[in-house]
Amino acid sequence: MIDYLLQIRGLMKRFDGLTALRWVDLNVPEHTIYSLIGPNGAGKTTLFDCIHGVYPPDEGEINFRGHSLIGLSTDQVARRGIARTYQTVRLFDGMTVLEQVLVGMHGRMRTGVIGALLRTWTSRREERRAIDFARQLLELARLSDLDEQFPQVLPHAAQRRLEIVRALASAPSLLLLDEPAAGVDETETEEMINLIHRIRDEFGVTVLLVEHDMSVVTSISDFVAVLDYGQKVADGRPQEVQANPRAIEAFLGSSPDLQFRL
Amino acid sequence: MLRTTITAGLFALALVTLLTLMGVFQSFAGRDLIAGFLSVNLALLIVSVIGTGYWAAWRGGASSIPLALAQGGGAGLIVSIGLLALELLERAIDLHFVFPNYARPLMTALEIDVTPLTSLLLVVLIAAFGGWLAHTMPSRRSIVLTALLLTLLFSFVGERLRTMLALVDALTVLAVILSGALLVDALDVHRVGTSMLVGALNGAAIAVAVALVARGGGLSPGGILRSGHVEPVFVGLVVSSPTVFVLALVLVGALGSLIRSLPGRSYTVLHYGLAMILVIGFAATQSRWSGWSALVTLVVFLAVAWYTSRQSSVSDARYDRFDSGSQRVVRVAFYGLTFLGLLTLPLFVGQFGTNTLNLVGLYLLLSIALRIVLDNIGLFNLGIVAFFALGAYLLGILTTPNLLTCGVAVPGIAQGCSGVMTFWQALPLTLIVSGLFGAVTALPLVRLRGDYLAVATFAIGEMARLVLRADDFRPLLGSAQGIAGIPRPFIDLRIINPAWQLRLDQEGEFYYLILLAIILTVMISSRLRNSRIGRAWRAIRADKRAAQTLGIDIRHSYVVAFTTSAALAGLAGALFAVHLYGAYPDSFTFQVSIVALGLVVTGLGRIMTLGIATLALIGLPEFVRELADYRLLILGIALIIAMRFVTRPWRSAAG
Amino acid sequence: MNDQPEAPVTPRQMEVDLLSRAWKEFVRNPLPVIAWLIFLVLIFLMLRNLLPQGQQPASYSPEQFLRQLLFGLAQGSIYAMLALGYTMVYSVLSIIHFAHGEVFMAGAYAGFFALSAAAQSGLLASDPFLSVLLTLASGIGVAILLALLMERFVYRPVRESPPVVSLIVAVGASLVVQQAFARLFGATARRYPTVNLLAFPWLFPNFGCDSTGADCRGIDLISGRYDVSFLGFNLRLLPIHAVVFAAALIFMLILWFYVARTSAGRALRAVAEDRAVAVLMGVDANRAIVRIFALGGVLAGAAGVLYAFYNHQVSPFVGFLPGVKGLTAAMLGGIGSVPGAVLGGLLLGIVEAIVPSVLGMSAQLKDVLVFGILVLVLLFRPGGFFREITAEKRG
Repeated sequence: MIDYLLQIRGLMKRFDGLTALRWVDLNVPEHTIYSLIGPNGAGKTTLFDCIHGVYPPDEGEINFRGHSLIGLSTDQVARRGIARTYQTVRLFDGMTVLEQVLVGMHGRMRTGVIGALLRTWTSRREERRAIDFARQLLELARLSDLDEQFPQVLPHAAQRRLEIVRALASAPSLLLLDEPAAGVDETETEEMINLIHRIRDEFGVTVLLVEHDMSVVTSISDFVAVLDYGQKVADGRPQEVQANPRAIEAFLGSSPDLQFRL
Repeated sequence: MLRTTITAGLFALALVTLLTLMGVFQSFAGRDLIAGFLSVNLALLIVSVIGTGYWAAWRGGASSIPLALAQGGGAGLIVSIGLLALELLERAIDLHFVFPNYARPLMTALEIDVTPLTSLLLVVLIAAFGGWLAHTMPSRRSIVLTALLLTLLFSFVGERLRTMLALVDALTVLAVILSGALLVDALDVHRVGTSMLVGALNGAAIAVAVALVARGGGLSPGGILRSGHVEPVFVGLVVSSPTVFVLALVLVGALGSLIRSLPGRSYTVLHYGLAMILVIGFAATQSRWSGWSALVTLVVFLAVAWYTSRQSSVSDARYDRFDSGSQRVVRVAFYGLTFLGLLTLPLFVGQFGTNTLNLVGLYLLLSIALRIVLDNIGLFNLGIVAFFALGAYLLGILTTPNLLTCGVAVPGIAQGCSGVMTFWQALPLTLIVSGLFGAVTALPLVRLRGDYLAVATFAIGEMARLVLRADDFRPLLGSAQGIAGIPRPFIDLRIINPAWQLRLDQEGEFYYLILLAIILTVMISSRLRNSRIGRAWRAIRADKRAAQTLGIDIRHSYVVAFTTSAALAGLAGALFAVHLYGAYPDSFTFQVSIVALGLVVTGLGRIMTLGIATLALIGLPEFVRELADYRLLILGIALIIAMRFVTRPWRSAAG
Repeated sequence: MNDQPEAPVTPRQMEVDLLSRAWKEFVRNPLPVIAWLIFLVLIFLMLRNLLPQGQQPASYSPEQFLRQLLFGLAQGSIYAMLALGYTMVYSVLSIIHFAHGEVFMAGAYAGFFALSAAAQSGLLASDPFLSVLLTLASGIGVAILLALLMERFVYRPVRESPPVVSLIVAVGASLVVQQAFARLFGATARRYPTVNLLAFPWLFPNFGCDSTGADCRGIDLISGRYDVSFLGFNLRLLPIHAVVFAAALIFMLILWFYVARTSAGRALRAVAEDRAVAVLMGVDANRAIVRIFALGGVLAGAAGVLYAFYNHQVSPFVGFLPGVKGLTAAMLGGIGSVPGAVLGGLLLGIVEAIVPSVLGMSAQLKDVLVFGILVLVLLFRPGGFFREITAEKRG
């Protein structure tokens, strides 16, 4: 049996009679890029929210490294090593690019009030190392020259990359990316794919992502799962899923604005 | 077009009528803006009429000069007709039962007999001028308005300024700083160290020159260094302790040589500061705040406003060319000069002025404490007064004789017993207890929504006030009489030197304690802000959920911020009690919370503007008692207006 | 980089001792412990006062209770009227109309000037009923005016900001109105003229008689106070308390009729339910909001005048405490709920009148009690206490 990093069993989530997730099972192996696809309203973001403690699922289990995540708050889940980005860019107003990444390292730093007030040797060393590491991450996201800027001035794709490295700064073992390529043009999408690959390969981080753009999904994923109306209709290697009739139906049947390019 | 003018005029009329009925134009009886020429009352009337014209023309677009004049004049006409009608009405029936403060504005404020028609004409003309102001170019307008406003402000407190600073003191300092900066420029020095050296040498040279002149009889009555009636405090050092004098000028010269490389904002601030020194020095040579004083003030401020608006970008560019180490030196130079100014301030402003500065400093302290929660996390604490009062009462209980030490219910009766501990022992304890109290309050409160939290903290503040007043706790808290006789701190260093014991009971000495506390508080606040903890706070303010996603524990962050803020508010309260020689329940009302909140919000999040706002709202009414009646009114209006502009950062955290 | 986020939890670590778990639970959510502590202290204080102490009789008597109950009902109806203002504004805009107390104060002031004018012109002596009506009308009129000015110049500019911004702006507005009134009309308190409104001679045939005893004109509704023996209790009755209670009922009935039975009222309810949808359906939201503020003004103005009738004086700062108490009442009943506001107001009036002496606190701590209730309601039941009873759905 393979040891999965994230195991989801029989997950149910209802909102006022509407069932957003119905008996979803998901097994995410370590060091892979796992994509969730499905038409709008298929419950992909709800699944992320359940994993990340935004609200508890009605039924089912979510196990991360063999320990249940049910009942933990968002910040506790984050400190267990699961980082996340949102569908819309949510950078912090009034903080510089460098500071955004430093906030990402919050859970890994130890400086308390006393350390901050006295600028003790340990706290300064920690701050120095944090800044060094943040600069490495900014280098990775090709934002090195912009570290003193405020995020509003960055182009959209750069904001997305910044958000991803901000999440990466918390040194997660699992990174949840909600449509990382939304609103990003073609050349920048290439760059984004490259970034996600490097995250897996160089940092050893497992990536679970939601994406609409099928070209991204096929070129990036090790595994794909298809959600439709809150149910998982198919999963497996990208080629297998592409050949799966139920997956094709899920896309062609319900959402004309999406092209499932085979 | 006509309609906007009429609406603007009517609106202005409503406001001016309101001011009239409040008796604003009669508040400053016998106070002159310019001695024997312009009374404050008349100036206020003129300012409101100019404002009317300005506003009408601005609303109407003010596309050309004649149009702007017409719009301003038209609005002025409406206002003047309305006011005259009010005066006629007042002659027919007695308004004083309803409006006890009402006084006829037009004819009495002018203090000359004018016919209704003349006053009407004057108002229209002045309003038309206001309309013209609205039409002039924005860049020039801001220069003119800044200079006018500062001149008005200085004239307002002119009689006090006249006795502060001898001209020769002002000129010496200015000469050292400006000639040093010019010399650096002329020698084309680009290194920070070199230019400081040049400045220091220049300062030394000037010090020697002044000393020579002083030795040559310049300081004797009628001497060249004795223009005006104010004793030169600083230059006077030449005789009493020449070494200090020379060293001080060398230091000022060294720091001042860098002013032309300061980053823009600091550059502007410093230049305005120098201009103020010059104006105050000049005023000391006049026998009263005359038209000359006002004119010189206006010219100096016009010059400085014009000069800095052109030069600050140049200076900014120079600053940017430095490496980071030099930049730090330049910044330190700015803070050093500001610090030197603050350090020497009590020497010039006199006993009363220092007392006022102390009060300003205490409110500043409280505001900075409040700011930690408000600015960083965006939580509105309307009950900061509870922590302020806690600090004051705790210090009072610990340092005065009371039933804990004397066993007598009424404090102060038993002779020969002292407080539980000294000020220096009580102060840290006060800090800790206030902080703990803050943490305990924060623990349940943190889960509340922004506005509910504000209401809950407000209720806590009110409860504190009511408990302090209640007779139920008289033995400990003294009910309405409070705790009197809180001693001033005492620094006892006789172990080192038998002569070293310092009782900080002079206002001038207590000032330094407050200054120290402010510097400490600012440092705490800024260090926290730029640390891991402060970044988490700011992230929460910007986006609560995203912050949580990154592993930030919101509850924990709130409690830490609340604790820090409460501890510092307790510190402010403790010093406040010492300042008043007692803790009295009437000092700790909801108004204190509101004033602190208003200061932080109108201070727009910067310590410098916070300081200016505190000076204006706390300091100025101490000098001009009539203003005290309007202090809260002005604060409330400022709060309402400021909230519209500064709400953006609070958007998400509050939601 | 890829360090383990947290070591796996072993069974031994799970066996944390009970004390530290309790402590952790307390730190995580200290509210239940605090609530129980407060509750126990209150029970102790109450028992001490209600039970006879040895030879001494209990320090709290049933007569005291009845007297306080009547006073509490009158005071409570004032709070209920104010609470309705808070609740209505909240239901439409989701903001706390903190300056509502000043609307109340303005009503009391306007009433004062109208009543003084009536007293000076002799109308008060000749026709007290009309004078009282005029006083009420002018109080209501000015209160509406002030409420609308606030809506336009204070709340509307920040309508799209988060609620806390409106709250702070309202605090500023409250300060401005207080200070402006203090400057305009003088900061000292002014005494309400004494009103002798004799009425109901057919109900009370032996009251208000002249010296001969022939001409009896009934009881004095406004300034009368009568000592009455009732079922063995000696009570002092003030008709004004009944008048306030009745007037409050009438005003609330009018409000209910307006909201429930008229088309304008339907628009209000639509906007309160969902502003965006109401606007889509063609309801003028601005007009509805203005109406809500005006309605709040009507109730607050009337309450101000009634309050001043039995409190006998007005000052610019007279609105502050009733305002806060009205807010507390609204919170108690669940802000946004109309029946909750009424119940909350009455309950708060009674609690405030009775509880301090039951607990043996000094009267000075009465307001501490109210503020304490405010904090506790915010902490424990931000939705109010009558949610289940009133069973009103709030979106």
